[in-house]
Amino acid sequence: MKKILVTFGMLLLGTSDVMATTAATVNGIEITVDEANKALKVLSKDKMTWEKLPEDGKTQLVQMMAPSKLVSEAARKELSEKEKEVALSGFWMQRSMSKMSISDKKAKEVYEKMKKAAKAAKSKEKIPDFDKAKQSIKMQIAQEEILTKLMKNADIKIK
Amino acid sequence: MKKSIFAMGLSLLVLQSPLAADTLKNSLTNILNDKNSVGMVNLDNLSINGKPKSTTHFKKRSPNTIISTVKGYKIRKKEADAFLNKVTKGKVKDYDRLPKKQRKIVIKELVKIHTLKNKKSRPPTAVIATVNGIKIIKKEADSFLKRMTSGRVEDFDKLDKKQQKLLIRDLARPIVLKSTVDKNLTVEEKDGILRQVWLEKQKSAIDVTNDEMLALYEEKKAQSLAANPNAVIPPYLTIGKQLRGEVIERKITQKLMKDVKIKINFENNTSKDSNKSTKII
Repeated sequence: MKKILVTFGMLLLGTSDVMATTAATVNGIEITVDEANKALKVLSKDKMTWEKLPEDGKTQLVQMMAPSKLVSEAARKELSEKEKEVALSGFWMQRSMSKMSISDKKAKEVYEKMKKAAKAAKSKEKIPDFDKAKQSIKMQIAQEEILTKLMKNADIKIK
Repeated sequence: MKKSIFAMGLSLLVLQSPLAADTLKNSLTNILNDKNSVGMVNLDNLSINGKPKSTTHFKKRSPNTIISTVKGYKIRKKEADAFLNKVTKGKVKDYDRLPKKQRKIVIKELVKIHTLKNKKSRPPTAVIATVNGIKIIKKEADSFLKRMTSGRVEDFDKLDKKQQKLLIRDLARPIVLKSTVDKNLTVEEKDGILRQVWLEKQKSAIDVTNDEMLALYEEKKAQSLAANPNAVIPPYLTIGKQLRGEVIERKITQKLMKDVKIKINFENNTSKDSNKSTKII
């Protein structure tokens, strides 16, 4: 009997906790009190909290936050796995590259190699001047360095 | 008559004489005619460095001759000839003309090709590699290979080990990158990026008319003047891009909020439904 009561009490505690953390739902998507408070902190310049907000204020706030929640849900559902992968990898790559510094000397070396290769291949495409191609070459070098580092640590097994 | 026939025969003989003797003949004629000549034969145009041509004779075997047998695989000369013709782009066509060392290489390559040709392919769902624990199935490698070779090769199992390794490395790159990205981006960052991509996609598919932009301009103008009658209103044409963006945003929000079901937990924990689906925020 004691065990049953404890379990019942815990269940109640769990339920009340869920009720307390959910400020609202939009098409079943949860907006937590924490999220509502974060939004309020910005909107009211730290003067208002979800608990103190009157009912119409809460309605207004939830309606304001709803589109953002719906966009997140739509993005999660409607974007293909490939699109998600490309977007996230692109962002991470950009961020990682921005932390790297590639010297002009290194870029020039790669440029000369590319120029030589194009000449050897009798390419008819016009090779841009180094100053014009510099930035894109630096990005290519950075990207290659990042990927090489990642691949070095990768655990690849061929069966 | 006899004399003229003789003269004609002589001139014909002269015309038919080999051209190879021209250099020497000219030089001799010059000595006779040139008063300044030192009387020496000019041998400038004659090559004295030329080596006698090699007269090595090859034993030419018939195309059906078995030139080697490796693990029961009988290699006929015509196979080796065809292979040589292909790899040298027609420059070398006869296996028998190759030195021993090169013959060995050809045989080795032919055996390799034969082995791969007769190697049994695994089913498309077979796991051919793992990258950081993530499985790569044969189907993925086959389609990647097909794409890479423009349809010329489409069976991973027909590649040699070195080629397989290279292909798996190429396939592994996005997998490794994905697992790194998953580990290094927060949930909030991921959400923000995906939202941005989704919004951009929506924006590119929405048309905005001039009338819609003008209506918004008038609305905003009225709002600004109501708040401050002395407000400076920028001309319509200068804020076209901004207006277009706002119209698009409104359209997206309207679409999203259509038939939306909002439930709010108020302080006293009583739930109220809010169905103001058309409210534009």
